[in-house]
Amino acid sequence: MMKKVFGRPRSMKGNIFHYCAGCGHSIAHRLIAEVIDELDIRGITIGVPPAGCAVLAYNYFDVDMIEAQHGRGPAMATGIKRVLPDRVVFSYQGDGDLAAIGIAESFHAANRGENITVIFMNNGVYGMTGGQMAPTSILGQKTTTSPTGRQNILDGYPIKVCEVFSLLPGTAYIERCTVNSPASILKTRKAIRKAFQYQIDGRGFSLIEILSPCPTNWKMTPIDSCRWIDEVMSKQFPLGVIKDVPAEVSDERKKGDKHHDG
Amino acid sequence: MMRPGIAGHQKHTWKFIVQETEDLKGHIIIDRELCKECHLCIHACKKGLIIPSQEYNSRGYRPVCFKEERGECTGCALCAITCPDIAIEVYRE
Repeated sequence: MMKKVFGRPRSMKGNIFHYCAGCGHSIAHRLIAEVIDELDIRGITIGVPPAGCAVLAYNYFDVDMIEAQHGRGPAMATGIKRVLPDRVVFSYQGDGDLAAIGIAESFHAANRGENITVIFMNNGVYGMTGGQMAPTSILGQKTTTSPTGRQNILDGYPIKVCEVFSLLPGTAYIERCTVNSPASILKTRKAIRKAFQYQIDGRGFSLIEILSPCPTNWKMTPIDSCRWIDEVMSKQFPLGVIKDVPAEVSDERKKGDKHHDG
Repeated sequence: MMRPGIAGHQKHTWKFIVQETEDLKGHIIIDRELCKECHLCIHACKKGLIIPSQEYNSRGYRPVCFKEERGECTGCALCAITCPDIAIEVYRE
């Protein structure tokens, strides 16, 4: 007898994604929905979609969603979490939303150590408006507003959001992952699950940055854009856990216990 | 939610499953209407069981199809994990 081992998560509606072929947004949506199913928090989860490509995320998640103003996701999530502290609140943001217009709100929400989860999709361009240069475009990247490639003299350097946020004492868990291969997708899912678990345990602010392919605006095939993340983008934005305070604390506690025993 | 073309397609595939169940270890069903021909699943399948097709669906894409003759599919779900549009369902014994 055949058993179904993979299908649409229950926390996901049946709508067809409006994203382009090979887009990383829809993979991230699915991973979040799978984690919500796995932790069984569908009834108590509130999501905050951004402005940008993922502005219609409320069409896909079968959980409560409140649309935020451009870049104000973490500020809104702060309000929701403070009024309803028993809910699981996540904000889903792109790089134009978090790293450009909403950097102040996101930065200060992280600094206050709000007990929320932020999913940050980094594809290095403004996807929805036609592929303009974003703060996270890497040096030399050609976009519609940097046709000869991004230059540091003219446009500055790409912002490494994870590294910047990891300096704030309020943040608990920060990891950068990608969704360009089955292995990295499973790793990303683990990271999202951990972030949600930390929020449920009340550990504080968690940020998951996901390097996401944007084949349309990078002007590549989906397979080439996955390769480009591996070969170029992840060199500029190194993958891995950047900060994990709860794990460090428990490690120290274990060491302390051993010392005490000895 | 019903979309035109999906119900008929699934019925056909189910018939196929019933006939071949004894031989297969795993099986996938590709939803023709959801596929956007990004071809990431073709890249992900280690056995090359997913191939591009020339037929169009109602949204103007040419969905990939699953071609298996010797029961090679193990139901590893790598294709479904990579698929951005959740167009692939995986069944395993």
